[in-house]
Amino acid sequence: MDFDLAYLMAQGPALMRGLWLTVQVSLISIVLSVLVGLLGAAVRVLEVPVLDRVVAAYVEFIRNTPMLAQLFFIFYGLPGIGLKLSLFWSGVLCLTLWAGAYQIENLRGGLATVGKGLREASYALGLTPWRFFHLVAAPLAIRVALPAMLNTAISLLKNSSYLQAIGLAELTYVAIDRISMDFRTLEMFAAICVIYLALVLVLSFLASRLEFRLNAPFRH
Amino acid sequence: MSAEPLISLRGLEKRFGAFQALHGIDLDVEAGSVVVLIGPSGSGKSTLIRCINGLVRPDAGSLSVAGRSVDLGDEGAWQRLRTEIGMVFQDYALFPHLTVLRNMTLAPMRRLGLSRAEAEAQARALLARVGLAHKAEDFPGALSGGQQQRVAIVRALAMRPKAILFDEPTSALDPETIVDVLDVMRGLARDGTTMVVVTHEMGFAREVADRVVFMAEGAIVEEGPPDALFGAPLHARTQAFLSLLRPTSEALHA
Ligand SMILES: Nc1ncnc2c1ncn2[C@@H]1O[C@H](COP(=O)(O)OP(=O)(O)OP(=O)(O)O)[C@@H](O)[C@H]1O
Ligand SMILES: [Mg+2]
Repeated sequence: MDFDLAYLMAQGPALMRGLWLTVQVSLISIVLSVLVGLLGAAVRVLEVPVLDRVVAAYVEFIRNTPMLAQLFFIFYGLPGIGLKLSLFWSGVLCLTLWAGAYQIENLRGGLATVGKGLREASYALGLTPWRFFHLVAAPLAIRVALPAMLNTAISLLKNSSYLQAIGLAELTYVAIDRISMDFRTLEMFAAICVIYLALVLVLSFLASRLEFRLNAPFRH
Repeated sequence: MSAEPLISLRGLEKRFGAFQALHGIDLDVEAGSVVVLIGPSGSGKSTLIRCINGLVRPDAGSLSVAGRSVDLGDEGAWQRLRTEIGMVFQDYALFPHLTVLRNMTLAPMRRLGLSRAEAEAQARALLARVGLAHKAEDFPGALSGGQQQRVAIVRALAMRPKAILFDEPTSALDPETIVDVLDVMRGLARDGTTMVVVTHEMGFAREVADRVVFMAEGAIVEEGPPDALFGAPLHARTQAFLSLLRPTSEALHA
């Protein structure tokens, strides 16, 4: 069986619709997971009573259970307690919670490099712990944590393909769906791998631009 | 009697676990005066100075600033106090990701409620005073140690504090740049800024201090005007400490 480029071209519009959904669900989840990471890391680093234990437990739970189980829990489990989300938002919630746990740990690593001296200097100026966190500690921590945060974002993007399991018509779902009708396995999987690769490259490029901008203060 | 002191400590105690770092410290700092703290390493100078703005929480005793007594257990009270008392650290502690100007406008905008324009105008005027107007847009990493420390001093001044605490402000500097920083501090003293200074610069202490306080093992051993304390120390502990310094101290020629 030859590689049928014409077939792929014909599937272009369907693949593009899947790609668009993958991009949407991933971008929203990346942004939200970074916010979860910042909030969670703040709670941990500022040692907010009780909440910091909750955050620690959440991180452990996410890291030690399969993402697919988490996804099924959200999509099939939560409606049982009256929380019914759409396919799309179930996917966003799952990816956000999953990646958020890793972003907390990434940012905590970055925060560990922010010296006690800057905390004291902030407090000595009358800044509150929260202002120290978001004006000083977090911006510095992000610079250090950016490579790890990019890795998590890339994993999130790739893991968005799990969402096909609940029937969200993202890129992988489209491919599997077509294969079940046309049996063009080689073409389809080759195509989506190339597309995922391209997405990861774009994401890496954007991150390197961000890194360049963030590091301006440290280039002399 | 004269007006009450700007800063007044009574019976201040601090423990770190089982170790008692401060024993019943009584200290008064008059408005407009310069108090210099000296003493051997580990004697509690940094601990004491940090107790004045709550970076170290005293365990017992009392602290009053400008006639108001500070509730030692109230974080909000410490935060308000810190907007009134500046601090300069040995390692400058400028925010490395912010320009010199932003370093100086951050707290005044957030805590004093200045507009950006007001805060920037004030920052530029202060920078000009220490000869660094041309560095406003630079990042701290591009400045020498002495320049960074001068920025740290004017960053503290930008909060319009009632007093400034200095913890060994020149100890991390090259000898050439120490002079610039000490000159700025002399200028502040002349202008009547209330300062509490931990330093090993005995020449500076002699010249600028209104009172010198000698500490050892977490307690104040003796205090007095610089001429008296350097010229005729009363306690053997003080004499021993000063005799160790004498050979290297530039300004004891008087
Ligand atoms: N956070 C802390 N935890 C435990 N012990 C501490 C702490 N801070 C200070 N100490 C101890 O308290 C004592 C006084 O320390 P401090 O830093 O005040 O001394 P210092 O006079 O400033 O000394 P130096 O001239 O070396 O700066 C020292 O024995 C020190 O080890
Ligand atoms: Mg010290």
